[in-house]
Amino acid sequence: MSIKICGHSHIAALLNGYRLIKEPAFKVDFVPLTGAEYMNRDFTQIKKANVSFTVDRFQQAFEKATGETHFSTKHIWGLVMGGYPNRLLGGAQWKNIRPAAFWEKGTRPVSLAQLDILSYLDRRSLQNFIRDLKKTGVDVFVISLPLSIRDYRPEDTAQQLKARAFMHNRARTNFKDWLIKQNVDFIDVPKDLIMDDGFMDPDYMVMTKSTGAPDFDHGNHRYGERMMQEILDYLKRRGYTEA
Amino acid sequence: MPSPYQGLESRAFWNSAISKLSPLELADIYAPKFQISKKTKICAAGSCFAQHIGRQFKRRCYTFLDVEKPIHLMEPEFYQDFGFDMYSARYGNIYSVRQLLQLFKRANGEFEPLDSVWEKDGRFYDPFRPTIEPKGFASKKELLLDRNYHLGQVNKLLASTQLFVFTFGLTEAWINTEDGAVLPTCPGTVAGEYDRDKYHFHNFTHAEVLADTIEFIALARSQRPSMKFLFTVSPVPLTATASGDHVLPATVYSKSVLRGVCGELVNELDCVDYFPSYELVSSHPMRAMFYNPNLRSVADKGVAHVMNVFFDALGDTGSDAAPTKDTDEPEEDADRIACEEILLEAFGE
Repeated sequence: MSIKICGHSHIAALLNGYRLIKEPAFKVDFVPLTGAEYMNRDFTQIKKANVSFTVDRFQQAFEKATGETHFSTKHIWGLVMGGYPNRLLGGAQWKNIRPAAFWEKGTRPVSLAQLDILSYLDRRSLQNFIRDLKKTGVDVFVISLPLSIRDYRPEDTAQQLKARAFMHNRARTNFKDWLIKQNVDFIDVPKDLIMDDGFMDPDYMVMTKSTGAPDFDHGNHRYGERMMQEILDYLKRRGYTEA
Repeated sequence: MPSPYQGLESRAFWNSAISKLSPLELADIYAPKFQISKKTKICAAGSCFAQHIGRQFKRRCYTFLDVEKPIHLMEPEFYQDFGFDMYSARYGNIYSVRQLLQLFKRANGEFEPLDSVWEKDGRFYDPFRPTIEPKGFASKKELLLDRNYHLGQVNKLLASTQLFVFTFGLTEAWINTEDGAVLPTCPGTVAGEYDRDKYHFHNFTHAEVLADTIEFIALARSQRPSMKFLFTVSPVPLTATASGDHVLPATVYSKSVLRGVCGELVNELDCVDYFPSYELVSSHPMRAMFYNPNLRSVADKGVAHVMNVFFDALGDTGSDAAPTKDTDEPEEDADRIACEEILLEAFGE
């Protein structure tokens, strides 16, 4: 049984971090997929009792990295997906819309119930994927994506920042609650990487190589190193041994 | 002197207009009084049957006003749960014209009902839109903010409306005795508590419905003097009656009053037209074939039939029907970083 970590662009930080760890406790294989823009709809299927991707370029990348056509029960799979409600928080709509608890004059309030539906829709295809893996007996755990960075929108007011932190936290909590019900472990971002206001310490954010500009979406190699250490510790805790 | 019936079109005679035809072939049952173009700004409200009308206007690319669109990411499967995409705002079903009038008076600040918030099992309900959030609001603050926003949006509607489409539903209502506020459902049905000292049942008369409708038309035209009105009567019978009568005669009373008011207004006011959706589904030549087996809800084929007759009369074959933009789309988010680049960096080494 081997460890495979699969994900979209966020897998890069984990790979870079893993490379920094001297004598890691376990060998880990990385299965990079391409960009995640297809995740707003189901992207996997169960075919002949095995889970594979329905998006061609995901499947091609998967086959290239693994030499296999589907998620094999021979491995333990870590999915570096979820925990950051990308489409929910990414929309520019939050300039004019607020969760009711953070309402400001001139904005449209949105109820918690609607917010929960939106965050569910943001991760629905991922949940369906995980459910399919569980159905087919695949051993899977989930690795959190990096948290929101405060300066992602420098123009945000104090109330907008609070609203963003709140939405992010609520979406994560809902996702984690769902994972518990599915009996799927979640590797969270270490607490010391999170600042008092709920945002991630920008020291763990990567800078875009080509422009030098901050990349508010992705973690850097230090972030990856910390997360990989969390993953290796988790594997130790659950008694994983290399055959 | 010839009989006044001599020389009339075949549509004027039962034998030629009904008996000799299939109910699906009735011709000229609706002749629009005024033209509705795809540029006409349309607002719709009414009882549940009115939802179909609004959706058809949207689907056929008419300029259907919607001042409370779903938030970006919300999927159509959840629209109805939260009252989106049903009407021109999230006011839910409006069964009586008194309720309609009251809504716009609340929106412009003329009337503030005593009933404000109903609490049930730690959740909070708007007495005037008790089902607008499927499990109620999480807090009183959330409800009040949502309602203030909603009424603010409703208040903007009339000024931009060129055609107001209203589907009359019922004459029966529950009223707060102290301030006369009409509630969409009896307190205690969804939330709230029924108190016979606080609320009473009322079955609106023809005179009352007529007066309310005239007052609504005046209020609406004070915002936009050229506004026109298209009225219909819902073919959906009462689910239950509190009148003490059998539900069938109670239904016939309700529908007769509403139909009578529409007829009177169409005859008297140039700005009012009537579309016979009630007749197209409920009248006996249709043999109840457009109802579901419960003989209450209208089957999809019935809705389709009614809407086809309506749009055919407008000369709209639906050939350019297309889905419209449903959500409050945010502007393009330019901040996102291309994910391919970072992958390439890590795995390209």
